[in-house]
Amino acid sequence: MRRIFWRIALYTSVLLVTTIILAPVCWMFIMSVSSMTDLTARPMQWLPATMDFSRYRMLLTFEPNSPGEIFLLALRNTFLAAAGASILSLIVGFPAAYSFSRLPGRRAPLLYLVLSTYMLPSAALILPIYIALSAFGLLNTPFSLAVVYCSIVLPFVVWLLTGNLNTLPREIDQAAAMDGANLWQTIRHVVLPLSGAAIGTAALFGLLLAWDEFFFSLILTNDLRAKTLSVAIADFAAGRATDYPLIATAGLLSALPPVFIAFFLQRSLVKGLAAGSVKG
Amino acid sequence: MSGVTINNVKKAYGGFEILHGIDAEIQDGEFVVLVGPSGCGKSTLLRMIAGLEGVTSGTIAIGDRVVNEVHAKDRDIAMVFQNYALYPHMTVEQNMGFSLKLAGRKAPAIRTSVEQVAGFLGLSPLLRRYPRQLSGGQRQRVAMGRALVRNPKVFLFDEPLSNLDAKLRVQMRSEIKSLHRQFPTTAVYVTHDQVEAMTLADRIIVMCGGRIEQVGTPGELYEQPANLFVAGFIGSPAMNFLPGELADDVTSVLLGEQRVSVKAPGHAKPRQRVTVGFRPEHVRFCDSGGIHFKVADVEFTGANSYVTGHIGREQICASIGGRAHVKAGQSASIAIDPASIHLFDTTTGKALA
Repeated sequence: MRRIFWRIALYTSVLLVTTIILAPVCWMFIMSVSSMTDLTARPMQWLPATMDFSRYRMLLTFEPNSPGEIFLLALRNTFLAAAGASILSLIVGFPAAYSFSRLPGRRAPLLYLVLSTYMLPSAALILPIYIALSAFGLLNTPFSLAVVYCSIVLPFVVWLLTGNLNTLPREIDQAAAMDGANLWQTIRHVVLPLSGAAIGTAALFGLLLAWDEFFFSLILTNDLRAKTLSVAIADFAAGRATDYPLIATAGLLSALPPVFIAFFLQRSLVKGLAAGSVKG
Repeated sequence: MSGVTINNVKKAYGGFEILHGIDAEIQDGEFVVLVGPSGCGKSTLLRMIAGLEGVTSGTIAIGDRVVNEVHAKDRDIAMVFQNYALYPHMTVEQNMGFSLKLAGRKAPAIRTSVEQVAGFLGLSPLLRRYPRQLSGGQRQRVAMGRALVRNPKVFLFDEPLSNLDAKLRVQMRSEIKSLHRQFPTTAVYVTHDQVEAMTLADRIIVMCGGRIEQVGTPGELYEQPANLFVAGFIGSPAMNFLPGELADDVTSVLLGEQRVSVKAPGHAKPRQRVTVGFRPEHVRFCDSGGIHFKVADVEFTGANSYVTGHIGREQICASIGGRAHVKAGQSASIAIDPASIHLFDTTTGKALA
């Protein structure tokens, strides 16, 4: 009897959590296929009279001066900025993490300093960044956005990779050195292949962090050449007549790529996060 | 092949010195075991020879070349680690051939070398497997194979058998021994297990607290320990120690109420306080007239029985072949052959010799 009670309690809480997480997504979907009149009707109409998928087509068709153009260009910009930030952070972050994890010296305070930059409010950074980028003529490009996103992604990547490298026995590096490998060969043939899962996880998290970013993008971009999804969606809301179904559709579509990537990287993700808990 | 010369080597971390000036000469082709309790600095010394730790002062030379500033990869030495440190993402074949690949050897040549060593170690059927698919003993063997393929100047072993179960350890021990007989390369082997040291070594370096206590062949260390530490460390069960005082004529010592004749060296002083050492295996039970011994416990191990008990208030152990004919609580009489008694200066701990 007790066991049945606990089982019911367990499933109820699972259901509750799932509902809380999925309800907004479901509501967004309903909004995206509803008509404007359904959404503004009183009393509230929970399900639309007819399913209208026209906004999906609208957003995914590239036509000059249409919401489609804004959305697709923003999608491209977001991808360039997020992937660029993720890749740049890995290129810089992996050697940094290796150094933190392996090389002798008193770098530990530096590692905490790295983390502290992560804790700085973006508002404190935005002015110097804006002035610097403007001086170099780099405002309003996805690539400078990628560089700026590194300030968010890089500390995270360094921390994650340092933690993962620490779980890799030092003797493996040392064995490589005894086998005649120099630092580069040790990293290339031994450490990198063994860090695959961690690198995948870091890349994914970096991508997601940058994908959702709003503040920097809002300040540092001003038109379709660099505007990212989060800002583009906000722009949809800022018009004179706000098209709620369109906003919902854009939100849903912009969430799809990260979900898709996360789904396929799931295995590596779990492995990366759990590295060290399983004996190699 | 070449020897290793260690000259007044010190190691300090910050201001804390853990090796206080080590001197050792390891001959070409010699199998030397560094042995001592944990924390004595033996592993640090080995890692300094390997180039994995810096030398604070003094010099380490491999052959004629001082290698203090030479990177580990350029020292031409191979090392077997305690946890094997195999590359988990490489097959046995790739693990063993990695050093040759780095050296720029062609694939067919690498395969030939790896197959030859694998055949020798009985690893041929396992070449395609990954380390995680191997048992502890097999991994150990791959680690040795990886070292052997290199044909290095010096082999270093860092407690390579301590992760194996007792039976496998004995088997691998004799394999390492026979391997060294066939490839007489200079080898330095670190262990805390004195039995491993005794069975493997041409010469043993006993270390304690960052210093060398004694260097010698297993026989020398067993028969003529230089001090109390070595006497207590080498041999199992450990040597018994009793406090005593030399007689006026320095030919006997008082043990309990019994006067036992000893061979003290010429410079021993009358009435000198000494520590009397004798090994459990040199104790024999006699019918009467020996030292009074109160039996506390008898441990039967099969081939031997270890009888612990007391002379006066001091606890000692006796090792008797086969079954002991005494029981716990019984009183007995024991005798010790004067020739097998070791005398140590109680204040300095040094052997009187």
